[in-house]
Amino acid sequence: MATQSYDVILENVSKSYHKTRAVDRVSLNVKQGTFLTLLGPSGCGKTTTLRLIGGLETPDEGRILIKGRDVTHIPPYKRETNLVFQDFALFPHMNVFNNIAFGLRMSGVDRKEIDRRVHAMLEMVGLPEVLHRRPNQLSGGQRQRVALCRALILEPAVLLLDEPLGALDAKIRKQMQAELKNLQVKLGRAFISVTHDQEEAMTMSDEIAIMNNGKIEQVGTPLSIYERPVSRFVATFLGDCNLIDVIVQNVAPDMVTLRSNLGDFSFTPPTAWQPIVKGAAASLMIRPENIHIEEVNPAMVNRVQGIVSESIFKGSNTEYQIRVNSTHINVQVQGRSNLKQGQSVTAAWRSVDCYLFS
Amino acid sequence: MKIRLLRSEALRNRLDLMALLPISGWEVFFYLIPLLFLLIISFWTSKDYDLIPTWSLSNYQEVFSNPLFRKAFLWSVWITIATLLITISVAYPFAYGLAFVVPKKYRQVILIAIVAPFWTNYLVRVYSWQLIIGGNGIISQSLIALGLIDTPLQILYTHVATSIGLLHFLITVMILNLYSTLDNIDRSLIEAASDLGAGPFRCFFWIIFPLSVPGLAIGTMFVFIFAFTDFIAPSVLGGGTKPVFSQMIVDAAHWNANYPMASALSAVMLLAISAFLLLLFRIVKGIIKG
Repeated sequence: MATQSYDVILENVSKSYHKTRAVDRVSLNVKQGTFLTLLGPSGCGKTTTLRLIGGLETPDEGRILIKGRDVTHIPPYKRETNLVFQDFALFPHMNVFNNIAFGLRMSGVDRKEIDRRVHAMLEMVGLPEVLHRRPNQLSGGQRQRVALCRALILEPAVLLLDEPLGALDAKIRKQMQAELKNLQVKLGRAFISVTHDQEEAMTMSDEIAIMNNGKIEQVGTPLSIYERPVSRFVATFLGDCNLIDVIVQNVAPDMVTLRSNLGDFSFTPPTAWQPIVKGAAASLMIRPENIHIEEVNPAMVNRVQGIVSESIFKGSNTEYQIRVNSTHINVQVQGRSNLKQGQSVTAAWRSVDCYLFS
Repeated sequence: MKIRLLRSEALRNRLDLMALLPISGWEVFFYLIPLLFLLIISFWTSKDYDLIPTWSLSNYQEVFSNPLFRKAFLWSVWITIATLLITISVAYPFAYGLAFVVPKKYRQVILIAIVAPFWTNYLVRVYSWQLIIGGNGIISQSLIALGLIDTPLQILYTHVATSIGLLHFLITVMILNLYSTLDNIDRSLIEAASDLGAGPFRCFFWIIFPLSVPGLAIGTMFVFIFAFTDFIAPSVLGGGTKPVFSQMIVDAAHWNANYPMASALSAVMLLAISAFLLLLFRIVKGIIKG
């Protein structure tokens, strides 16, 4: 694909602080108009990566391209990116109008045009009545919207969001997730967001990049990462999962057979699967919701015998812990289920409902 | 529950008020009442070192008509303004550099170095300036030794010397005031401005400067009041040929024991300071609101 069809390209970008590599040779392509989320635990380098794209940090090595233009050494005030800061960073000495108008003033837009665009912006986020208020007179949700307006008014090629919903309480957060996603679709611009909240990432993103220790572990759609993680870290970070240590016994195109101390299993690899050689040690991942206890059918070729050691009713589903030998397997059953603690059960899953990685 | 909460809140408010009592009592007895006396006495007259409690505007007439007082007032204003301008133009860049340029690990040392002169009494420091800038002082002697000048410098006993004495003290006060304000500016605000297209220069004028105005105003207030009212530096360093307004008050009270006159002069000084502060607050409000 030509460089023009990517809004942002990072090529082997690194950034160190005090000899530790916060960002370690990161390469990333953000397709035009996508909502990409950098997801990872705190200290994984996701915020630094975002700040590198925005120009608030300069990389030690590597190149950054925005809309095909090399901006590696271009300061933030000359970049086509705008950032929504974690704590919003609204100017406390200016009212809402002046906060939003700031970017336009800096680029020398005339008064009438500024007036029109600020009003249009506030209209778009449904906040036209707060024009003359100071940031400290706004609620968290309002501040968040004003910060969005301020960053979007310059119509940046890429909007960067640093933990955009972190400062909001749970109820507003849910609502803002939807609003942000709608806004991004409506504007058709690339949004790059940073979060440690996997649910937020899954809800809003077209693509997720999972980061750990300054490196990107995996990039893909939420579904592909959830179903086909490339590493133990990705598998455990995104959602709950069961991991079983296995030795690869035999590899055929449509079936991989495995041996573990819980028994023998088989795995049907998807088309894009990276083959693992025979005899190698690997991890078999099964999501709790893919394991069945009560309605086992013949397609569920992988089976283990165990004892229900714990059950937690969670409303829409019930979570069980099944003890098999000395390990535990987590199982999630939709709706109500009547298994009792200490009951002996068979847990089973299909060979396509698991994933194998080394 | 609600009633109890309200009651405890009322109680807390009452306790808060009580905590204010000692200091307000102090203010009333040692500041407001004496001030009131001073204002009353300023309308009295004095004869043969005695106070005569008759109401008269003669002191004020004297203050405003006597060219000696008028000159002294103008000298005070001139020294104060000059000191203020120099203080700001030296302290602002310094505080800015300290807050935004100097790495954090060196700041502590520099701040201690700034505060260190405060360990010496102001009067002592003013006297030590006599030794430094006097005809036989280090500066003159070194310049002569270097062959740059052949007669000792005539700095001591001029208003320049007064200003030097004031500056030495006031610049540090201003630096500390400005530094604490500048250092408190959220760095993400500066990054946000930069992100929105403001280069370093516009970032300063749109964000940093307006946000530093409160610190600048408090510093200015302090410098103005101190420079305008100080009589130590003018007496020790400035000499007596062109006295400043504060010296007029000291002269009237101390040498002539003309307390009504001294009170009237003090009242005028107070008025001048109030007028300046009013103007200052107006300007500050304008900048912050704008």
